[in-house]
Amino acid sequence: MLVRTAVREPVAALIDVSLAVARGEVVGLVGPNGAGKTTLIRVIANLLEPDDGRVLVNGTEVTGSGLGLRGKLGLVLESDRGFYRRLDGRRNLEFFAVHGGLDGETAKTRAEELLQRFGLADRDKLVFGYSSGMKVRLSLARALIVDPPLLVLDEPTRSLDPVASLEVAKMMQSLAAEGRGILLSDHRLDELVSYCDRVAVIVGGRITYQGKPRDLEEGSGVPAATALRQMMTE
Amino acid sequence: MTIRVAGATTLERILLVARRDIATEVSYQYSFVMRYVSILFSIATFYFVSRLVGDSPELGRYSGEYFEFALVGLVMSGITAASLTTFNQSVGMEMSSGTLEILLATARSYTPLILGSLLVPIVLRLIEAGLYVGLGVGVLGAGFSASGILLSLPLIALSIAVFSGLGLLASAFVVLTKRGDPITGLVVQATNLLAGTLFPITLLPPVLQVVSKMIPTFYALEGVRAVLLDGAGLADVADEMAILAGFTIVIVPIALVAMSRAIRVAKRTGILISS
Repeated sequence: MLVRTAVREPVAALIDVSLAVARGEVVGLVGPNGAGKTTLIRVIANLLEPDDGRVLVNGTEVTGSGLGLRGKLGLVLESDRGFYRRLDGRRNLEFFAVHGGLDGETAKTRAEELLQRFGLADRDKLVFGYSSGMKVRLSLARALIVDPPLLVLDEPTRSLDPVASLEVAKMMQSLAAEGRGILLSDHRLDELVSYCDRVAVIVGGRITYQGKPRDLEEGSGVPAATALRQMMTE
Repeated sequence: MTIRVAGATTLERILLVARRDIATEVSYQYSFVMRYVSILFSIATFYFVSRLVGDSPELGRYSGEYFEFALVGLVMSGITAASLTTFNQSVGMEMSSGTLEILLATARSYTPLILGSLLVPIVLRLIEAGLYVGLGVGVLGAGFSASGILLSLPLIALSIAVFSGLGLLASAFVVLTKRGDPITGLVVQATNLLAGTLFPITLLPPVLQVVSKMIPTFYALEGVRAVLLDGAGLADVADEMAILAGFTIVIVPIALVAMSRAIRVAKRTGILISS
C-alpha cells in the first residue's frame, strides 16, 4: 500500500494505492488532472519516496534503493522533453544506453535497432528539430534501450494528434506482446479503452476502480459506475 | 533478445559525457569562436594597463611586470571560475531539460556523469589559458619559462580539484532550490577582489588581507606566480600545494555527501518533479 504526502502543502497525494502490472499486460492509469497519476509514476520510478509502502519490480524492492531500478524499468516522462536537444536521436540513445549499463558497441547496435523500429533511423537531425510525434517515438526507443521488463509512461500521447496517438496505441500492444508489463497514465479514458487490458482509476490519490476498460467506459456494475462518476465530477 | 548490461566502463561513460558536451559546444559555432576571439581584447587591455602601471612598488615581491602578474591572474581566474560553475550549470541544464529525472531513474552510476560534465569546460578553459600564455609570451613579450609553465600544472590541478568541490557543493544547492545558484557568481567576484587576482593583496586593508588568506585561489596564485615569475621549484611552493590539497581533502567529501543528501531530499520532497 503506497502512501505519499506532499511536503510543501499538507495534501495526501497517494492514499493506500495498491497496483500490480503483469508481464504482457497494458494497464492504463486514468484520472483527472491532479489526481496523483504523475506522483504514482514518479514513486514507481524511484524519483519520489513514499511516506509508507514499497514498489517491487520483478520481485525486487526498489523503493528508496538508490540505483536499484537500473535495467528493470523503462521510463517515459513528459515525452517531448528529457533529451539533449543539440544531439541527434542516435547520439541521445547511445548516451542513455551507455549510462544505463550497456557497453559502447552494444549501445550502438541497440540504438540502431530501435531507431529502425520506431522509424527514426534515417533522420539524423538534432532533436531540436524533431516533431512531437518523433520525440514520443524517441522516448519509447530510449525506454526500451536496456530491454527492461517493465515500461512506465506518463501521458505519452499528451502532445500528439489523434493519428499519432493511435500509432502509439499500436506500439503499446506490440511491446506488451513481447512480454513486457506496461503502465501508462492518461487523463482521457477514451484513448486507454482502445488498447489497455486493464484500467485503474485514480481520484484524489486513491485507486477507486480496477477492471476492464470497457466496463468502466460503459459504467457496468456499481464500482465502475461510481468510479466514472467520481472521475467526471473531480 | 539478450542485452548485456553493466558493460560500459567508467572511462567510457565519462568520455561519452565529454562527447555530448563537445557536440553541444560545437553546435553553438558563433559563441564557440567568439569565446576565443575575445581573448585578444582581454589580453591587449591588460597589456596596455601594464604600460600605465609601470614598475609599481606593490609588485616588488614579484618578478616581472604587471602584465605578467595580471596574466597569471586572468588565467587562474578563468580556470577556477570554470571549476566552480560547471557543476551547477550542468545540473541546472539537466533539470530544465528534463534529462536529470531520466538519468536519476536509469543511470547505473552518477560518478561518470559528474566527472564527465567537468571535462570539456575545464579543457576549454585550459585551451584558453594556453592561448593567453601563448599570446602573452609569443606576441606581447611575457617572460614565462617553459619549465615554469610545466611546474604550474600541479598547482592548477589542485585548484581545479578545490573549486570543483565547491562547485559540487553549490550544485547541491541548485538541486534543493531548483533555481539558479546565487552564490557562485558572488564567490567568483569576491575571489577576484580578495585573492590577489589582478593586484597584490597588500593593497587591501589588513582585515581583508586576513580574509584573502582563507581563499584557496590566493595560494594557487602565489604558487603559480612563484614558479612562473620567480623561477621557483616545486619544493619552494610545497606549502601552497599542501594548503590546496588540504582544502581539497576537506571540501570534496563534504560536497559529495551534500550532493547525495540533496538528491535524497529532492526525492522525498518532490523537488525534482519538473512539471
